[in-house]
Amino acid sequence: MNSHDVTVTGFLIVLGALIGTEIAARSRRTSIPTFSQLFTRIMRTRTGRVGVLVAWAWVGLHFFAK
Amino acid sequence: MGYRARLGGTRRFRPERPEGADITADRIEADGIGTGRIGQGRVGTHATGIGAPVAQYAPAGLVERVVVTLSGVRQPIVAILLAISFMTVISGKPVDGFLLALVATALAWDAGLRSAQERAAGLPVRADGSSAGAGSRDMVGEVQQRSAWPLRTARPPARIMALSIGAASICSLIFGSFTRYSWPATAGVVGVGASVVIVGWGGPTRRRAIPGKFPRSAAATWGTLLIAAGTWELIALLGQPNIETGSYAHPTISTLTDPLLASPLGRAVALLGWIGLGVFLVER
Repeated sequence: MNSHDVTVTGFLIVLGALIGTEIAARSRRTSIPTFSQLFTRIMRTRTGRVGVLVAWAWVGLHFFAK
Repeated sequence: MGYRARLGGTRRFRPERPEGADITADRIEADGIGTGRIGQGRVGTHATGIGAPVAQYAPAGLVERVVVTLSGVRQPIVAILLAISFMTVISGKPVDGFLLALVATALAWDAGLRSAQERAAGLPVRADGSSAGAGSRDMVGEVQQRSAWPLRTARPPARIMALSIGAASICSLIFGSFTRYSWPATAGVVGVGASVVIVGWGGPTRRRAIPGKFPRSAAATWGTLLIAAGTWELIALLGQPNIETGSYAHPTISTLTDPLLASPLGRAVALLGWIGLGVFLVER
């Protein structure tokens, strides 16, 4: 396994953990909030709301814009 | 102890509340966008405006303004934006990074000022900048968001959904057909991004209950994953030959997504996902 594979595996593990956490949250057996609940909570304040939306906009600019 | 007594500074605090007035009205404004009690007619378009201050507190002097701004950096989203800004600058986009830092600073100022106003008004303030008054309403499940927009209670009708998805798909196909990092692609993404941020600034578009404060372990789970993802990306970035050149041996997320975004169809699919995420966020 070379460094490329190690790096990609790391990202896949994090992605898998994110999906696993969401599934666990939706099973209602844990106190972990779902992705939707998490963002509803974060975005209840103006700072959180505008901050999250700006971060979202930055993702689009980063991948597509000059 | 009030804010004035603790800092001992020079500030102008004018509660503007007639003696004996119901303080609930002030508390409803305490959490920025605000939450309103069901049945009080305060949900939806409202006259008081979004984020109306709880008290007129005005920091005096540069030092006090800096202190207020720094206190707002405790907000996790502000810290995240500053981290993204730093990464953007070292990635060779100083103007983008500067603009992002500017937004983060403005948000820090807004959050810090609001906390100071709530302290001045005598409301307990949590570490994340929200007031205990707002939080206690969250916990009883009797609240919902307020917004500048009329709040929907359910999904839009199927016809509207179909039209929206069609419009988003057409936008994605058009902007995806442009060369990546070209001016037309930039104009399209900036237009969509700015529109969503402006709509989102006004508040949510759909009525939903705000969850109460999460247990520390629950919040730590998502936080740990976020930090792990960011750290792994940073390690890959630092493993590149230089900050602006991608590396096969240490690919970042950008490098890994390059093959997908090389084709117009791949860009269109990615743009559609990005727009969909924006709509998801605006509804929160």
